Amino acid sequence: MGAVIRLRPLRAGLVLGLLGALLAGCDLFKPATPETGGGGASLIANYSTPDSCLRYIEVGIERKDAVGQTAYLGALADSGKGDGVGFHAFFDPVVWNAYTGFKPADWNLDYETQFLPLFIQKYADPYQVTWLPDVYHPHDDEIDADHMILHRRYEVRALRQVTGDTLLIAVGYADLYFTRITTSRWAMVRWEDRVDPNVGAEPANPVQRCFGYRRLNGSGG
Amino acid sequence: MTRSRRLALLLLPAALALFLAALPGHAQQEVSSRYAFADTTLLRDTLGLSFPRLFPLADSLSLTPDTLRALAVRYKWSLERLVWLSDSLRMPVDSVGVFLDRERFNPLSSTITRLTTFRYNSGYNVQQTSTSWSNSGDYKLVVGSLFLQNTTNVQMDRYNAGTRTSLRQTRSSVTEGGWRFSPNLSLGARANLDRFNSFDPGSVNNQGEKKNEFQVSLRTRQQPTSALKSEVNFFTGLLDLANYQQVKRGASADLNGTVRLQTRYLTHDLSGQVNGNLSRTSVPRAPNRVGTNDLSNNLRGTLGILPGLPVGINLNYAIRRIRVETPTDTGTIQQLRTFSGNADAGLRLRLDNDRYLNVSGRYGSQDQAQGGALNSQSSRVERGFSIDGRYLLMGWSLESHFSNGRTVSEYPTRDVSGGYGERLVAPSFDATVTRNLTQKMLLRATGSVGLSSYRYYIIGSYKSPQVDRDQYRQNYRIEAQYNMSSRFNSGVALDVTRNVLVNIPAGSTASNNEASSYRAEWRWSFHVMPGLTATQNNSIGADYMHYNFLPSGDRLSLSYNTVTSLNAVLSPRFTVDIRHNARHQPAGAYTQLADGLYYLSRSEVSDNYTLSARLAYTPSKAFSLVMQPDYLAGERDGATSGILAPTRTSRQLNFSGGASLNLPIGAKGRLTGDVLRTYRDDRAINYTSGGLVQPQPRTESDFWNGSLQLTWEL
Repeated sequence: MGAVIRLRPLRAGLVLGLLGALLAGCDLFKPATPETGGGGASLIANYSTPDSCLRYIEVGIERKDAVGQTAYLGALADSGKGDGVGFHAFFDPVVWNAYTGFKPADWNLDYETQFLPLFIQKYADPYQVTWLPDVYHPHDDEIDADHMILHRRYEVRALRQVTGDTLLIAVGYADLYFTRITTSRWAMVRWEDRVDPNVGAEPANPVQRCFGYRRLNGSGG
Repeated sequence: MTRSRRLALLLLPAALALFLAALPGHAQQEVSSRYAFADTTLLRDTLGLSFPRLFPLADSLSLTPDTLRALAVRYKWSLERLVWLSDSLRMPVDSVGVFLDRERFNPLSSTITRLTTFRYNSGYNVQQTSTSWSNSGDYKLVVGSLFLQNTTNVQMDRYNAGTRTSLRQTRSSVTEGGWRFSPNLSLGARANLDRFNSFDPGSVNNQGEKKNEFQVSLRTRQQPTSALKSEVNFFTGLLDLANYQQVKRGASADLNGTVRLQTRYLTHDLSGQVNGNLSRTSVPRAPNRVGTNDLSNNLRGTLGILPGLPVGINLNYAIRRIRVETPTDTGTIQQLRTFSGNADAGLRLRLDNDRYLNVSGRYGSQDQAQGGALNSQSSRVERGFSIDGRYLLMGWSLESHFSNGRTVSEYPTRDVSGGYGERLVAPSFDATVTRNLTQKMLLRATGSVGLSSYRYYIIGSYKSPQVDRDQYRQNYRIEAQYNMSSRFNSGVALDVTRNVLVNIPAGSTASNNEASSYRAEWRWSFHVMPGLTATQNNSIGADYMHYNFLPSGDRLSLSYNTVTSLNAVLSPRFTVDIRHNARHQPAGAYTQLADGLYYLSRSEVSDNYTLSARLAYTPSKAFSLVMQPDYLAGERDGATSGILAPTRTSRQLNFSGGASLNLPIGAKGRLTGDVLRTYRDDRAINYTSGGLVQPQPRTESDFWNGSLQLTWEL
């Protein structure tokens, strides 16, 4: 029996060693080598505070290009990237109830990734994003050193090149939950969307929708 | 070497490990070290519940400890009772509560001939700008073979925005009455009533939805053998749905059933449901009512082979298909179709809780289409496998997990020109080693590596696909804990993470980057005297961000953090917790100087301090008083022309005080919850780049918040 006990560590060690050697040697985890060049636009995003995350969400929408999308999505938590927590968006119940199309059970980073290019391409005009104080929740909530909730009113306008005026294409309120992922990086983990009561879920101007409706409606209706 | 051959090679040691794991084991050893780093706050008693053996139980049930604890709190059952119910009902722990709640309203579940029960719950939740009041009641009456039952829920939410108030009201009621012909057959009638109303002051069309279903109900049970049980239920009747978008009237039906086969060597649970309606539907702007037909099919099952033996197989499968028809403004019908199907199969080899190996494969498919509208079609197919195991070896607990998956998603109608598809391959591997080095010292080392490769292809002539890219992540963490005595323990940890983003096309590589994070921690806890414990967590961290093609964007952020807490039990009824947190965070970019080298220059520094306390006085189990003051101070400096200068100063004071209740109301009622008054004061000063002071207005708020729940049973 004693011999059996002595052999088992050898066998298990052999298995672990072989497994490790294979994983290390077969390049399964080796990222691809990029094409040479270093070309294209770049944006040095800074997510060191929740407010700077909002800044790069704003920049990401306004740039309307792939670099902007990277900046926008970089401000959101990604559990698949090892953040330990993922991004989820929640809807105002009245928007959720009224919407008759497909409603995902969980609006996660996958859905947000698909939604963003459709939203920024909805209007060909340049966009302007504004984060304003939430007059109904004037204080941000610092839960602890690593968790914060920002309350904001958001407005997205299309700056119409032909007429010279602006078109308010997204308006509402949001409770935005942030978590510190690393020393210098915060990420949004939760977007709780609220309809602006002065606009309503079925606004007089049907363009003035909240982000929750824009998300559900994909291309923006 | 192709990927498939690499994976085949990976399976070789897995098969070897499987062979090893299947051999008879030797005497089980104590592995308490595995739980030494667990979150012990989960063990705190609440609502009269305690959670002994939470971590081993959660581990053996393959649940996270917080999930198991939440289940116990939700249903107010002890862990022992929860696990006993799970064993006796032969179902997963997280299904027990749902199953028992559902069976309470199944007239065939009880053989009692005279019964009257009534349960009432009311909850009121008040926050700074919203209130929510919920009321629910359920009633059940059994007289001989006759039964009557009702469940009613009403929820009213108010959102205050200045002088304006938005309202949301949700009401639902299910009433069923009937006759139980035999223990296996009942016939009756059911009324499902749902209401939803919403009012926003700024809305031109406030919403309301009214849904009535009046149905005949038939419930049956079968048990052809002692090992085979089944249930088939059928409901059919009239549907009347009216809301802002549509008015739908017609007939609806719901056929559902379950089959459970349970033998010593095989268990199979199968449940299915078909429901739908045949209706005439109108929409506000359409000229006529049109016929619509909604249909939903749902089938799911779990097959277990050799469930109680060291070698077993599990198979889970589910298929769901939904079709919803909605008239358009032009009178045509638009169909929303969704389909999802998935299956996973696992081979389980288990000697005991410390030595097992699981090999599993999975397949999933999902399709969605909404008429021919743009951006309304998508599909996803996922295939993957995983291997995970644990082995206890001479006091070393080894755990490892490997998985690989391939997902293909298609969005064919992004715009009129077409769309794109995405191929994602995501292998990952992690391993953990835990060991009691000595009687007083524990060691744990964890490592993980993962790669997500995204590749895109065009469908049609779409012009804006995403960029091919790889995201790589590796992490290792080594931690040690030293328990000098029952009064003092200390621990250190080192955590290193590396994230790499590689955009592959030359035209998008400028933003390729590599982020490396280093974090060291030291913590200690000292039981200073009876009733007083001091704890301190110290950490230093550094994040390096390197842009491969843009070194001027490189950045370094540092963090020094100290959290000190004192927990005092001044008397059995009076506790005081004090916590201080100090965080210093310098950060900067690399600047190229005349010698051609890059030097770090500080461009911002932030300092944050928090002092918080919590005082709780509990004169009885039913009532306690709580006071919680918090003070937060923040300073932020930024660089102007290379010189650091203040950019923002902020101060915040929060004070909450109130009471928590856990009061019995008579013999069968209970009032629980808390009521707090919160005061908050906030002040900030911003500085311009020229050093000019821009004081922000001081803001104060003072409001009630909390929630109360009343439960009463007849």
